Amino acid sequence: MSGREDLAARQAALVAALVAGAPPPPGVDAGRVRVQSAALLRKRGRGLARTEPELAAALGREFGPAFVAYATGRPQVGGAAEDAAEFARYLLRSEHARDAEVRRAARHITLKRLLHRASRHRDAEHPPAPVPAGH
Amino acid sequence: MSPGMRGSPPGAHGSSSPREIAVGGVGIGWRPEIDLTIERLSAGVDFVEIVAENVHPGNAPATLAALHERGVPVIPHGISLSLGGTDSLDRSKLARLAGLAARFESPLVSEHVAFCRAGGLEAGHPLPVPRTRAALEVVVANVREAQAALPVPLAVENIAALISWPEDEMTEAQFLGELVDRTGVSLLLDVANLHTAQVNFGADPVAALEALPLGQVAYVHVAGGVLREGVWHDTHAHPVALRILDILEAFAERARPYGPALPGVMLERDDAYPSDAEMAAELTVIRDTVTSTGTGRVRA
Repeated sequence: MSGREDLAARQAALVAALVAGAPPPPGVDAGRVRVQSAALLRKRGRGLARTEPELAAALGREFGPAFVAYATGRPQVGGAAEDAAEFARYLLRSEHARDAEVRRAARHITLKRLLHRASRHRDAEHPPAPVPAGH
Repeated sequence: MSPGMRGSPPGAHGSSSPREIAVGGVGIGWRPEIDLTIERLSAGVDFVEIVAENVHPGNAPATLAALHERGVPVIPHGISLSLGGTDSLDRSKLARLAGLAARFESPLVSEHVAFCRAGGLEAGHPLPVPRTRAALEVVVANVREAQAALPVPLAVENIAALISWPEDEMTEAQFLGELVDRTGVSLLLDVANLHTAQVNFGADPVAALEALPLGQVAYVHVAGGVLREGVWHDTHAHPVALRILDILEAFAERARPYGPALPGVMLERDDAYPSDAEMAAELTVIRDTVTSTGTGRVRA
């Protein structure tokens, strides 16, 4: 393996350990991987709570545990909005859906996502300027 | 710059002109949650930094546009370019940085010496690159590509890491120094992250300052964090620790010989925002730490 391929494999192994529950890469401190993994999960949850304050308010103290239950071993795919929509769908299938405020906030998020997708689909017929990633 | 010049003031060689600083004074990380605080403290804010991923050049918030119109320098700071990754750079992220630099007539843009994704998975956070020759080649190539795509100079930052790699062959200062030598890239020196490296890996911050090419520092980050179970977390949500101000003072003393004005020093606060008064107090302490003469002797 070249140095570059070896580097790519090592980095991929670390990210998989941090966000997808894979074992730590050989030689990397397992305790620190757990600490970093938990920190990444908290950061992801804080970001979601900030962009979806209604959902965060509806869940209240349940937000943290619910997000950890959702996100552990479930890497983020797509951007923050896609993650929020996935979390909302997860909540609607969970015991949290017994709370009417949570159901309402979660439905609002999934609706926003569907409308966004629909507008992207419509724009595809008249190609728009590229949408920068990283939102 | 020849490798032999790193770490030595230009006066010692008599060949370089004094450093021209891109930004000076004291700055703050602009965030939408504290835009009015920054407005109220603006007499004490010499520059701001924006998170490139969160500001669109064509649709900048009014409070940010007003700062720019008043002549406050705005530095776009990327957090997800992954300069230390083996994937090819995302051209849309480079275009965003370039577009923001044009929109705000920025003196420079900044990013991290880190990777943010690998193997098709996003970490959502800058992670440390193994400090090997092979990884240095990757970072050098990525930095050169970014420099070619940007209309202004690039500065790269040392990150706060919780994890280290067993294959590390160099110290962080050696790795950054070689990167500077080979690319001419500027440094965004995060003194809180030197503290993080000390707590988490035993790396001496003063030794790092002695080894780093301080003449290449464009500006400086300072931030608060928290110690949990022996690990320093660079949270940007706590007050700046005195130990981090000690490192800032050690930096200022060692950077002063490079030129009459020091690079700007910036407070990062991303969460648990304090009152205007507390924020103003932190900015004042940072300004005092940088401008005080000092004894010439700083405890390691």
